Formats: sequence, C-alpha cells, structure tokens
Amino acid sequence: MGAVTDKDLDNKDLDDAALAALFANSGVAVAAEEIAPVAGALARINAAARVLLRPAFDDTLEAYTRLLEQDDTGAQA
Amino acid sequence: MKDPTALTLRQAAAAIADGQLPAEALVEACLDRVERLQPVLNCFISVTGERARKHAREADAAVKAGRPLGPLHGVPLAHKDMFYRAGEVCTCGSKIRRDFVPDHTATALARLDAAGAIEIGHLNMAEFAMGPTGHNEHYGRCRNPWNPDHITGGSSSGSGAAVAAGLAFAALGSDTGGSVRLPAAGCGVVGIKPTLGRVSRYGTMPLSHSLDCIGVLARSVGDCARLLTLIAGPDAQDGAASGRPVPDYERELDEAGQGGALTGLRIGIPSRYYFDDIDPEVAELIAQSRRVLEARGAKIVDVPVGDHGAVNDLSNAVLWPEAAVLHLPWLRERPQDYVKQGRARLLVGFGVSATLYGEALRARGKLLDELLRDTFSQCDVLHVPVLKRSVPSAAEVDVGGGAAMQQTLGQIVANTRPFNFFGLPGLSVPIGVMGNGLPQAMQLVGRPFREDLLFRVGAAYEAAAGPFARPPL
Repeated sequence: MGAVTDKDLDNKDLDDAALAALFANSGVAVAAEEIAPVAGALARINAAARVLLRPAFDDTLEAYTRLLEQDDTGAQA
Repeated sequence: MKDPTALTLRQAAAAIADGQLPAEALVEACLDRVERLQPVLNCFISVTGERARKHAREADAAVKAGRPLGPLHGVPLAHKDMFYRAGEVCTCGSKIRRDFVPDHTATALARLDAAGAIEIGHLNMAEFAMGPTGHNEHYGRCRNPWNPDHITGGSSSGSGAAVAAGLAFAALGSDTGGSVRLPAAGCGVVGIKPTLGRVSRYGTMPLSHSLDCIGVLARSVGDCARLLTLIAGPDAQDGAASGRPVPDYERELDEAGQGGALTGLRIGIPSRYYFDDIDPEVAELIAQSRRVLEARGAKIVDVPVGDHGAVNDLSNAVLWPEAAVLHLPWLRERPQDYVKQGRARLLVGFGVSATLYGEALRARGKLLDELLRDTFSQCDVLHVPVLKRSVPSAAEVDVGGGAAMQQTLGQIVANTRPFNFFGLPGLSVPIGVMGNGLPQAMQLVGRPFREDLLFRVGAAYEAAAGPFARPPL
C-alpha cells in the first residue's frame, strides 16, 4: 500500500490504492469493496471542480456571506 | 368537532384560543392516531404522551383563566429527533446516540415552547440525517402515508409522514441537501428550507456547517409562515445565525390576501438541468401548476442558469468533508455502528483534498453572484420540480452502499441540493397526485431572505388549487 503523495491530492481522481492508503493513514478501517463507490463519487466531484472552480485571489468566504446577507435587490417585488 | 386532526395548524390554534377545542382533546386525538398508525408508518422514535397530556391540561387552564396565549397555544407538534431538549434522549436516528441526553435545548424548540406548542414525541429520520430516502436500519424505515411500500423522502422522513398523516400539526426538520423539501414533496405537505442562517442551529445535530438549515413542514403555506416567523432570527447562542430582522411572514400573507394576485411577479423557468430527463407525468403536473400561477397574474419567463449539475456534484466537496470531520472519532472507534449507506457517504469526505474543499467554498460567492445577476435579474422566483420522477418504492432505492447507491441517491437530490450550495430559500408545495397514487410538488426558490415572496406565491397557488388531499389512511 503506497503513501498518498502531493500529486494524488492535487484535485486529481485518486486511484483505489491511493484511497486505501488515505483511509489507512486516517485510522479508519475500510473494506476493499467500499473503495470503488468512493472513487466513483470523487470522480464526479473532481469533474465538477474542473468545470466550476476558477476562483480569483480575492474570492473569499466573506464575499459569499456578504452577498447572502446584503442581497436586497428584488425586495420591491 | 368531527376530526380535529384534519384542521390546519392555524385553524387548530384558533379553535383552542376561542375555547371551542380543548387542547387536551386535541392532544388525545393526535395520540390516538399515533397509536393506530405508528405500526403502519413508523413515524416516531419515541412518544412523549404523558408529558404532552400534562402540558395540554395546563394549556386548557390558561385558556379558562384568560391568560395571554402564544400563537401555538396547545397545538401538538413533533420534531425530527435531532433537536436537543435538555434531559431528554435525542438519538439523531443513530445507534451511536441511542442513549445521548443533551444538557441544553435547541433555540428553535425553546421558541416553539414559548409560543405554547406541545411536543408529543421525537420523529424518525435517516441516521445522522445522511440519506434522502427515509430508510433507517436502527429504528426501521419510515413509510409513506400515501402508500407504505414507497419511501417518504428524507432525511426528515418522520416529519413528512407524521404531518401528512395528521399525527402532528407541524414538524421541524433540517435541510442540508433537500431533507425538508424532499419528504414534504413525497408526503404531500408544505416544506420551507429557509435561507442559510435564517434560523439558529443552536442545539441541533450538525451535519455540514456550511449547508445545514433548519426548516418546517406543515399542512399549509400559512402554517409554515407562522412557524418560520416564530423560530427565525438572531440568536446569541449561534454566531452563524443572521442578524437580519424577521418579517411577520404570516401577517404579510394575510395582508396580501391568501389568494392574492401575483400580477407583475416573474416566475422563472430554468433553461436547463432542472427538467432534464423528467418523467412526463411530473412535467405535466408542473406545467399545470405553472398555468395556475399564470392565471393569478404571474408572468412566466424562461431564464438562463449555469451548470447546476456540476454545482450539485460540487456540493459534495463541501458536505462530506465537513461531515467526515464530525464523525471521524466514531468512524475510527465504532465503524460497525453505522448503516452501510451513511458510512459509504461519509467515506467520500476523506477523499476530498483540503485544497479542493477550500476552493469549493471560495467559489460559492462567485457562483451565487452569477445566479443572482444572470438568473434572478430576470425573475423573482424560480419554479422547478422537487423530484424529476415519481416517489420511488422502498425496493427501488434499497441499494446498499455500492456504486448504484450513489447514482440513485444523486437522482433524488438533483433538484434540491444546488440551492443548499447557493444558500437560497426553497419552498415545496404539493401540486397533485400521480397515477401511482403518490404526491408530487413544485419547488419555489427565491433570492436570499425572500421567504416572504415564496410564501406569497405558494399561498396564491394553494388558494387557487384548494387544500391538498389527505392520504388515504
């Protein structure tokens, strides 16, 4: 079982061996048959990330909260 | 009164306040119904009958004494078993917390108590609110009152079933990916998932702090409006609760007239995603509901939306890492005490890198900004189905923890989860019964903190369509 590398964690799909290593490192016992569904779910997440995630340097969490809290456009509807 | 459990919450509260209906009689009627239907529906994890009877007697004494009454005085409610009450077991639908006794009470519960509500029990739910179907291997599956072979939707399964079956007049639920709107739709009741931060989460079981919302399920839009008015607002115990003032949603509805016109209001129909691969029967019911709103004066407009399929998937990059962190100690020490589906979903959180999690959160502002700018600039409310298909049978979604599970569950939450990612309010309103005898619902979505507008549109629809049918029990 190989160690998880920086490359594995760089928003790429983790292969089953890397996932198994990740679980082993976290101290959570996982059966072999549990790995493939996790890999499938991660593939979807990573595909979505490739489509959507291009945050700029100044895209902060506060920007989201501010937008949510201060959105008043349409209040007259 | 023939069957007081058939009243809406507002009607029941008015009848108690007027002295026409003793709270004790109403509580007894609900408990009788619980006793008769619990073996069929399995809505409750525990029933607190004796305490409810005691509170009902006190409520009746207050009416007789002419004391000031709260807006829920004497009304029987029950809630998803994840709202803490000091000194009382709160299972969170889990084996792990089967004996957990919190030392504090949820703000939402305390506010309902202060309004005079009477809690009659703790409702079934998915284990730790981690599934959208209503399955629960620890406490048994909660069954749909319209057809027990079908799922209720989840994770607030007991909340949807109990309110629809007339066992309680309203119920609190939580919504992280659809868990209020899905059981509301599946059981034929109204469900409001408010804007992120609108309702305090103090004293509630956490799942994902970036997505969790506390919501309400009830039998009418007006009932939901009353409860949200009562539970929403700032809370010194919850720094994430919004400080924005809370409108009196119910009074605004009454002032507009329950069947008020929607003249000038723009109802947006998304150009993509929300209708992809939709069941034709669902599509027809949704089109009918749209025509009802149009007849009330609303203008129906097609609006562009971004890639919300990707948003749906991306929300898992936030939800499951946050949930995995919460559950890490138990996953290490008590892995056997989780059900297979819940555990399989938690494991996804381990594979999301910290950088991806952070990027997904950072992207939220930009994606919400695009939605408000590109979509909500052209409409006031979005109108989409809650479910693109009929309410599944239990067998259809009993798919263990394998790859098929992720796909099936993904289909169920496809139209609800994107709005959790954006943090926007959503209202599920029943619109009809399909050929298989199961209900179907429309979902109204608004800009941040525009729950008032959703209630207005929902109430206008209700007034035109009439009260929704009760399940054949």
